[in-house]
This record gives sequence, C-alpha cells and structure tokens, in this order.
Amino acid sequence: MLTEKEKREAKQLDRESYNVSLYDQPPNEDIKLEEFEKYALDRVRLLTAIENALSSGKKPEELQELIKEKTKSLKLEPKSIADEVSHYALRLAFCRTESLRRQFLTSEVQLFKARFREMKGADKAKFIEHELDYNSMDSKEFEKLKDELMDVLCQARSTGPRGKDREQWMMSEHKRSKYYKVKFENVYQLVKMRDVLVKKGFAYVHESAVDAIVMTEFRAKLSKNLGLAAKRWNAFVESDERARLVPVINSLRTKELGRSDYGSDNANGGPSGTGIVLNKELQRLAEESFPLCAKNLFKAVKHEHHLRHEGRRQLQLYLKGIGLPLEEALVFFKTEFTKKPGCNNEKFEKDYAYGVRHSYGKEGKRVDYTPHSCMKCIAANPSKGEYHGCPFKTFSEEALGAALSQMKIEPSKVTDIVKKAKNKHYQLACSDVFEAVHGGEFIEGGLHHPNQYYEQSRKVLNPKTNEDSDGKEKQAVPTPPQQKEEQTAAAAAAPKVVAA
Amino acid sequence: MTTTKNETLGESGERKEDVKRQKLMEDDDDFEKNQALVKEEVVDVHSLMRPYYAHIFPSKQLFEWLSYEGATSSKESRKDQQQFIQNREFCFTLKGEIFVRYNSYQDEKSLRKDLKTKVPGKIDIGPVFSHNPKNRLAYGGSFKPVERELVFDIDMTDYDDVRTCCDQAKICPKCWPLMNCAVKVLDVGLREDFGFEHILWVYSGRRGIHAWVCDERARKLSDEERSAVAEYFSVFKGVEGGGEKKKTNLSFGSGKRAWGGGKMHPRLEEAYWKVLKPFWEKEFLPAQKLMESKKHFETILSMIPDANVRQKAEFDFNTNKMPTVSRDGDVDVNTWRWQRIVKAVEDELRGPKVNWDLTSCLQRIIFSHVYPRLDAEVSKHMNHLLKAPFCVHPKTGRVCVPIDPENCDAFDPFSSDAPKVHELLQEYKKFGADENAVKKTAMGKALETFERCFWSKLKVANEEEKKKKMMMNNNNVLNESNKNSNAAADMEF
Ligand code: SF4
Ligand SMILES: [Zn+2]
Repeated sequence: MLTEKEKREAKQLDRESYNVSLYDQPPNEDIKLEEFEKYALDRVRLLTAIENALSSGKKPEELQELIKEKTKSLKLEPKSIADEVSHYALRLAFCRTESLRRQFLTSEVQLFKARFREMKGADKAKFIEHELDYNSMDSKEFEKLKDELMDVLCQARSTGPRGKDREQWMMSEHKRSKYYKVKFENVYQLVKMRDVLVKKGFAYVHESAVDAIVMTEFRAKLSKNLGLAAKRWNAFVESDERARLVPVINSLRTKELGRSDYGSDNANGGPSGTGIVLNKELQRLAEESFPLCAKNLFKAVKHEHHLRHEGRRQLQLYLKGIGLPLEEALVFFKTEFTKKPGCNNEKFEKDYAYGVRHSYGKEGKRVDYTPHSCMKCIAANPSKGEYHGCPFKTFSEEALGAALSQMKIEPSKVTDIVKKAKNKHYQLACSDVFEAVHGGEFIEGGLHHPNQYYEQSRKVLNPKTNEDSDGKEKQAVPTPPQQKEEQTAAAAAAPKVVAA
Repeated sequence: MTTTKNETLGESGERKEDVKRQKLMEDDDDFEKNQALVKEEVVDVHSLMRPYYAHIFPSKQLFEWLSYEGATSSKESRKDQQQFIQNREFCFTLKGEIFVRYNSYQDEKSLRKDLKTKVPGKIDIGPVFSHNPKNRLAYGGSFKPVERELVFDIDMTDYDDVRTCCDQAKICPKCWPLMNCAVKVLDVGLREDFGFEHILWVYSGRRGIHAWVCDERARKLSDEERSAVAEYFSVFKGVEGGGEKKKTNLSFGSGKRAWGGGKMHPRLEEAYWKVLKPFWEKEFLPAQKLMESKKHFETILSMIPDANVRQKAEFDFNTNKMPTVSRDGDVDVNTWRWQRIVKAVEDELRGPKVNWDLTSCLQRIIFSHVYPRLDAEVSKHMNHLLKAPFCVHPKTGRVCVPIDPENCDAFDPFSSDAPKVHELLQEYKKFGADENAVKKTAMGKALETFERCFWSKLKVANEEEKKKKMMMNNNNVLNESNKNSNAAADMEF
C-alpha cells in the first residue's frame, strides 16, 4: 500500500513524463519581470500564428507542423517554465472582454490539441488517469458489464472504424484496460449520443472516445478560469506586489493585441471609436474607407433597396461599429428599403426594424453584438442574391478584378491581389488593397476585422481626430431614448412557459 | 358546461345582426371562436381559485419540498436556507393571461398570502437564481439561474400521428396508456442509468405528464448536461411527408448477428423487450386498431424494406383476412396481423441473403410509435418554467396530481384520481368543520401518493445531506486554523 506522500510523488513523476499541461497549477517560480514580459510576448506570437493559420484555412496536419516549429523556435516547450508562465500571463491579458477571451480560448485549444496528439499511447493513459481523474474499471465490474459494454461499443457512432473492419477492431479493443469509469456529467457529449454505457450515474468510456472529451474538458476549464480571472482582476490590480505586473499585462493587451471588439461604444461616441458617423457622410466614407466587404453590402443596399438576413446583419453590425447611432441606422435602412416597390413604412417597421434594433442590442437577448470579424465573414457562404461574407472569397476572379479596378488600383497590382485571393489569402489580399488605396500605408498588426480596416483608414486619411473638426454637428444627434426598463425588459425576456 | 353556454348563445342569437356576427366569426376564424369558448371556462375555473387556495392547495408541502432543507452548506445554515428558497422564482399567470414573473417568497406564509391576494390561475416554478429574483435588476449580468430540478414534459398532442381515437388536447382511455408507457421507460432509465432517486411524476391536469427529478446532482446539472440526458432519452425524431415517414435516431450494432451485432443501446434494448414490445402487441394495437386503418397500416408498411413481406401483409389487409376463431378465440385482428408480419420478416431473414435493414425494421416501427416522445426543449434549460404540482389546470379544472410510477397503470385521469377543483370544494364543504377535511377529499389520496412515492424519501435524504454538510463544515474550521497561507494560491486564476 502506498502512502499519500508516495502516491503524490508517483503522480509528480508521471506528470513529468507526459508533455502536455492542463495549466491547473499556477507556476510557483520566481522570475524576472523582463523574463515574464518576454515569455508573454513569445506566446502572443505563437497564438497569433495559430490564429492566422486557422483563418487562412490551413489543414490540421499543417497546423500541427506549424505549432511544432513555432514552439521550438520560440522556446515554449510544453511544461517549461516559459510555457506555464506565459499561459498565465496571457490569461490575465485576455480575460477582460468576451471577444478577447474567445480569441485566446480558440488558439489555446488548438495548441493543446496539437500537443495532445503528439503524445504516445502509454503517456496518454497516464495523463487520462491522473489529470482527468478517470478511474479504470476493476475486473469484477468489467465481468459484470462486459456484454453491455460490447453492445455499446458495437453501436456507438462516434468512434472506431465502420463496416468490415469494425469487427476486427472491436476484438482487439474490447478489453478492461481500455475502459474508464467517470461521472456521466464529464462525458455528457457521449451520453447525448448514447455512445456510452451509463449505470447509476457513471459512464463507462472507451479509450477511443477520450480524445474528444479531453479537448472539451480543457476548453471548458479554461473558459471558466478566464471568467474567474476577469472577476478577480480588480482585486489583482489592487494587491501591492502584483501592481508591477499590471502595466506589463495591460501593454500586452493594448499594444500587441490591441484589438478592440468594435462594439457599440463607437455608436455612442465612446472612447475606442473615431466618433459618431451620420447618414449623410456614409456615401463618402464608403468610397474612402470601407473594406470591400462593407462596400459591397453598401452598394447592394443602395441598388437593390434590399438585403437578405445575413447581409443585413453583417452591415448593421459593421455600421454600428463605425459609429452610426441606432436612430441613424433605422433611418438609413428605412429610406433604402422603402424605395423598393412593395415595402412601405409599415412593412419596414413590421419586418426589419426589429432586426436593426436587435443588432444594436435593444431587442431580444439585448446582447451588444460585436461586428463580424474577417474570420466570421470568411466563414460565411452566401448563396445567389446574397452579398454578405468576404468578397475576396466569394467573388469570381473576374468580378473581383473589376471591383478592384473600379477602386483605381493599377492593373499589375490587381492581378497580384486576385492571385492572393485565389490562393485563399483573403486577408492578405485585402491588406494589399488597403495599401494600394492609402498611398502605401499599411495596417498595423495585420488585418483581422473590417472595422479595423475602417478605423485605420480614417486615421490615415484624417489624422486629426474628427472630434475637434465637427464636434458641433455631433451634438445635434439625438441621444437614444432610455428604455422603459421594467416592463419592456420583462416582455422581451419572453417566458418559456410550458402549457400543460 | 361550456357547450350548454354555447348552445344558448346560438339559440338566443335570433336577431339578424347577431346571427350575422356569429356567421362572420365562424367564417373568419375558427380559432378565435375556440379561444372565446376556452375563455369562458377560464373564468369559470378561475372563480373557484380563491377558495381552492384558501382551503385545499397544499402550499405547505410544496414549499417544504422546494426548500430542500439541507441543500445549503454554510455554518449559518438557517439564514442560507431562507436565502435559497427566497431565490426561487414563482411565476403567476393572472386572469387574462398576464404573466407575472420573478415572484419569490421567504416562507410559506408569504406565499400563501400572495396566492390569496393575486389568485393566479396558474403557478409555474422556475429555477433558483443567484440572487433574489425580486432584486434581479440590481444585479445585472450576475443574476442567473444556479439550480433547478431536471424536468420532463410529455404531451399527448405529440402523438397525434399514431392516435386514431383523439387528436390535439383530447385524451381518452384508449390513448392514455401511452403515458404509462412513457413513465415506465423513463423512470427506470433515470434511476438505473443516472442513479436518480427522487423523481416526482405528476399528471399535468390536461393532456400529459411531467417528471421532476429532484436529486441534488440533477438540480445542479448545467444546461449542456441536461440536454444530454434529454437526448439520451429521445428516440423519436418527428414525421416527414404528412405522417408517412417516421424518423428515429436508433442505432444498431454492426457485424455478425451471431455475436451481439444488431443490438441497440442497452437502455433501449431493455425498454424494448420489457415495455414497448408487450405494450405494442397486447395493448396499443388492439386499442388503436392501427392494422385496420388504411392510413396507419400503410405507414407501417412503408417502414418495411422488403417487397415480399409487404405483399403478404397487404394481402391480409385487402382480403380482410381474419384470424380463425377456432384456434384462438380472443385474438385481436390487429395483433394477429402484426404477428403475421413478424413471421414474414423472420422467414425472409432465414433466406440466403441478409437484408440488414430488415433485421431492425420491427424495432423501428415499434419505437417510432410508442417510445416516449419528450418535449426535450423543456428539459434542456435550467431557466424554463414548468407548471407547479397541485395547481389547477385552467382549462380543465383538474388538479395537477402526483402519479405513483410503480403503479402508473392504475392511475385514471378520467376519475377522481385527477380531481376537479369544483368537486374538491364540494367534498371539502361536506366535511366542513373536520380539521382533517382536506385529507378526506380526493386531495387526500394525491397527498398520500406525494408522501409515499416521493417526499418521505427526499426528506430522509435532505436530513442526511444536512448532517454530512455539518460535519464537513466542522472539519473545515479545523483545517483552516492550521493551514498556512499558500503563496502559489495567490496567482490562482
Ligand atoms: S478581408 Fe476582412 S475586411 Fe477585407 S473584405 Fe474580407 S472580411 Fe472584409
Ligand atoms: Zn384517445
């Protein structure tokens, strides 16, 4: 019988033998501030590389390779001090807003996945038992449940080969050592599919199903911890000895990852934006500063006086992000949409006004939705008659060429850009356009968001903040009326009532 | 009562205008008219709610249950206890379909008082929130549901494509057994597979049943985990093409039949052999006469992927072939026709080439007809309201009463098992001064079922939980005093 201490030590030894960390213990070492900063910046580079690879549509194997390479060159080997410290540093830097958290989570999960894949079978088993607290089955229990386990393994849809090979696979895989006993909550995805045997609150999971579970577990834990970190941030800032870290962390966020999420702060003339925008300025701004995706939508709504749902959504959120107030947006869409025969004011109010307000977070769940990022636009698949998504992906070569020529980009550059787009480097192509129409100025830190394109463009074209230039005009904009809080809120949060 | 009122309306409507108005209404919108009828009954039931809440409604039992004494873990458990129940949402539906959400109560007395003054036609129970729902606006985003029973809702309306006797909200003794079938399948599954012990089954008062799973572990499930449990028990996935094609998400093992291939998930295997198959053959087919109805017969045929079998079955149907009485006097023609299909399938499978789809088609047919059809959305979200047990269904006047799952076949929703509110009040009047008057009414039986099948066990579990937590707290105090501050914990984010 092992003593507690011996068990702990054994666990520690095992821990050292596998090369992946769940980051559930904050590092305990003393490190210098400069090191802290360096590690953190290196991880930012690693994660940014992952993010870019993802958005340019790299295959999983390519991503795996890239991560391996970068990890090596940046010296962020799994479980090294640098790796642990930088992870925790970035947790702090990225915990503050929802979209930063999401961004961090996505890249970290990919990183984890790649590292987990590299692990060998025996190490994997150790990892599963120690880190996830999965228990192996004892032989008595296995004898009792053997047949049912076999039935489940045989019908499970999510694992193992199909067809003829399955029989062979099952013969070799149906062994006690391959099963783990866990609380059903921990593998709810398998429970949902009925791909696991469930008895008295425990699920009996076959090893082949564990990979997917580990990923979700990692993601869930990290997501929760990020939420906690956000909550505790203030306490952290106040504690004396931590105070010196704060500027470093803040700079990580603002300098390197300075990614505002372009929310409605802008439409309220808030700090991150370039001031309020009015309808009468839209035409000019569209020509000067909109990225192609927004230009395209803007043109479509002007010509057709209509946009399908996804298009409306993308454009509304974008306009919110550049600082168009809700009232202006309502007027804009109403003016355009009612030009179309068959759409009068009444129809607009009935069918479309809700959507505009929704985009501004004034209806439904009242979430302040953030404008679509490039990644989101690129992911969209508009069908015929729809104009949303990223034109660098959705346009034919000819159409793209024509659109670029219209922007007075010289032919040789057009060919170049079209080629980049064809090779699926949409954001690079779009950045080239920016450069071409902004006299060689380029987007700092790489393009990742249409609203970032816009803001950079305004900065270049109009270096003075427009706050001083047309401050008076801005005050003429009516401030949005306060919601009648109590009643409307209750009505909006429509109760899900079950009629018996 | 409704019909009589309606008739008088029609008869007295002799003046031309009235007739015209009535006509218009019919042409215009049948729905509206129905609404009008229903409303009349609402008013009727509603007028009885005040005395019902005053004399019969078991607010004490309801409140005691929802308090889960022992559910809290603090040293000052009394205060915590109050906070726990105070954060529970009660939603009232007042006269005229007005929802009043986010009511909450610190004790039974205040609940009773509010019932008296507001006289809701219906009470729904929501989750326990992080804060008192009355003050939710003060907490903004941090106000959120933290726990709630895992609930299930099964409605007879979802079975319209397999019922020949009734449709929509109507139920009768021929279709009601479908609900018993659901109780039997789910109750065993929840207990055996998930280990839940405290399950309250109730008749909804109209056309279905609800289950409240009250184990602490069930109450604390996240929305994802709830969804998973609900999906685990969901097999029927709707109909396509006007009831023609019934979809299921059954999956069968592959490989040779000889070594266990072809089997479903063990939970479904057990449900099939112990509940569904016998129910289908002995009860459901004869009651619904599916094999005599062309429409339903054809649906069943369409699920058999073999022309020979189909031909044989069609022959029986078209020639109106009947079982010979001499051999087995009381064989029902529906059961008999089904057995002929089963035999035809078996014969076919004995042939040289195996049709894998054919091996499972009988299961698919039975599952798609009688396996419980959950309204899974209700189960999936913590923040979902469900009608409270013991309240009165506003449209039928029947009380939402507990069902004994072990003995669900004996529950008869058409009898005083599901008492109507005016009957209860009459009974109550009869026993008048007796202090046990409520117990002597039909509500007495409902409360006995509640106590025996649910509350008595939950109460014991609550007690144990309380003891356990007290011990743990004591230990924690000890530990805390000799724990050194841990530097690493500082950075724990
Ligand atoms: S790359 Fe981004 S900004 Fe450019 S068009 Fe595509 S989505 Fe818009
Ligand atoms: Zn019926």
